[in-house]
Amino acid sequence: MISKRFRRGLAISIDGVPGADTVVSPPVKHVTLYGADYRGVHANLSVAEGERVSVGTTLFSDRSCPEIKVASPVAGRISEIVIGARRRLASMTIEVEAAVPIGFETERLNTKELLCESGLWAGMVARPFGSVPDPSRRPTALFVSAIDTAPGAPDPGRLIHENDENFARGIEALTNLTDGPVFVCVDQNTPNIPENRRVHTVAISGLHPAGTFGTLIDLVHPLHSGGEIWQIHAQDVIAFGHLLTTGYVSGERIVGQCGPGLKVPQLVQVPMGAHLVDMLADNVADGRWKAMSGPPVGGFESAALRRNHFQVSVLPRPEPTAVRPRRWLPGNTKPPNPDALIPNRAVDLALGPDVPVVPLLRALSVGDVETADRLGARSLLEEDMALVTYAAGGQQDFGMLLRRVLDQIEEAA
Amino acid sequence: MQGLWSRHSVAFVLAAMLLPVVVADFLSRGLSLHLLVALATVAFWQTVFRVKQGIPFTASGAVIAVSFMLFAAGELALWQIALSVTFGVVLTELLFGGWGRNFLSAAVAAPAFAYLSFPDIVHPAPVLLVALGAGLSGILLLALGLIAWRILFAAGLTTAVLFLAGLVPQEALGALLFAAVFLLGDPVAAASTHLGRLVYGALGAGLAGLFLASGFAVPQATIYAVFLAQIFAPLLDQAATSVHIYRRSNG
Repeated sequence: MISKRFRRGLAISIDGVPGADTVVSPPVKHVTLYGADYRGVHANLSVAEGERVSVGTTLFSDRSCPEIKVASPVAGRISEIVIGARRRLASMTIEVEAAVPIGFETERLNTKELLCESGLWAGMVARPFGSVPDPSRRPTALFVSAIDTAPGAPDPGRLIHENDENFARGIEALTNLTDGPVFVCVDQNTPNIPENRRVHTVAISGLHPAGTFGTLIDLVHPLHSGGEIWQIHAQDVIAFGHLLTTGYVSGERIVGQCGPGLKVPQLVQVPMGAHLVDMLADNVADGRWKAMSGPPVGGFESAALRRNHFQVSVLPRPEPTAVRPRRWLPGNTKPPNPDALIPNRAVDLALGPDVPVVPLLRALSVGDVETADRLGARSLLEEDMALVTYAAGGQQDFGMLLRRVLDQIEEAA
Repeated sequence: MQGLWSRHSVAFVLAAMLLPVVVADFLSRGLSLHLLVALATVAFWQTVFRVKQGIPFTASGAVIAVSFMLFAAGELALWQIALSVTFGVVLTELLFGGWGRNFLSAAVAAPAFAYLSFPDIVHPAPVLLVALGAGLSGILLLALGLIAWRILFAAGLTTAVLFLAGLVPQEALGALLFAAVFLLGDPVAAASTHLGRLVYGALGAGLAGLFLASGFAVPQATIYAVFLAQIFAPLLDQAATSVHIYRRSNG
């Protein structure tokens, strides 16, 4: 086992952290998948509105790489398909009904084919740039995250404890995808995971963002030019192990509900893409709240749970500020510019990878692609910038700025 | 969740931390006309640029006024004060897009303009009581993480060495401490990398010692030293990031 300590990070406290005791399964009536959650996938629809699907039915595949498929997490009827800008799939909603799940021939298919067919492939993310990985490539390393340091996040270690056989089986199969090492990143108190020449366990300690992929990769096996690293969450590995054992894919996820707006912060078992309204049901206290998919810092408002989110946060919704009439400024006053970044210690500590933070943020805010690339923008994805955006006051969305720069680097590469 | 340190909240805290300094100055010299005129000038230009360019107001303008009160306390006429502060706030801050987008601190440029344009006027050094106020504010700002400890550490160490070597007179301590906390430590204009901050702090304090030893008056020596250090800050950052990138790519 490799032990690493993350020395930066911020302590963020939040009310309403779920206990690990019980998992409830609220009835979910609708499930929505978003095209934007599968970066780089140009959807070619395999189903039409009104069609009935089972758990594991292919909903859409990538136009240029048809092996990449996204499968239905539930059985039901396609109730709505929304096509967004540039003819891309915006979202697909499924009305949940009971039906028989599809069985997969686990004997006949190899790891890669099985992952693709079952839709679990689309849960992986490739670095740099953050697209769904190309099945024809092999990464230099594979990272499995079984740690979550986000405020109010459920502990994946307990989940692995309950599904240790499926997890171990999933990890074993994943070694077929790469010639390099497979790193399983865990908390200090996660049960032992069998290691071998290819599978290494990494115990990480430290404050958030210690447990995010950006930090883990930078601490353990930094991305070098030309290399590619793939990342996958422990729950997807467990689902894959489950598929290998039983032949059936499960679209269910254990999701933590946190935040001061909950009556009872709890863990719930719901399908991927479950609508937050169904998931939270009558668990929200009185008052003005907003339900977000994802952690309190870095999550965002969404009708349904996003593909790689394992947390739902219910936070106070700020009162709408009344537009005050300008009493003394002249009528032709310009609207205020967005606030500039003021460097401070919290910003210095908020980024996982070891990158000069303030120079990088300044390069991002002016869109200086070359400087950002030189400073190490490729080792980052939007999700790594969430805490920086928070520490810098939240007025500038550095995740979005980073994405613009990454898109330009990728285009030039 | 709401953000942690927005431009607005940082500026507000910085302005609040000026209070001990203002009180210390008030107790020893009474109400300063310089402070009032400088504040009015800053407010005027901030309003003009708010209306014409959409640059949001910021309470950090108070740092400019207090810095001017401390370092250009000589017998300046009202128009001379207004002109100097105008130069500082407009040319080094508002033309670049307001506080946060500037690369030199207006609180340094305003007194520097006064020294260069009206060289006959003698400016007294800030009183020692100011050191007490600035020290108190410095500790609070450090605890809040609004000044980089590396800058203060490097500047403090350098000053201590120079003081023991007899190059820094005791009456300069008030000026140096205020300058280290509010001018050299200004989060925007200061160096922003770890290594850059250490060198920048040492450079600022070293230059101040050099100027003091070569016969400059306390206010001029302090302001010119910070001014030069801030001019070098982007270069130091550039060098520090190059070192960082080299170290990372070579294991």
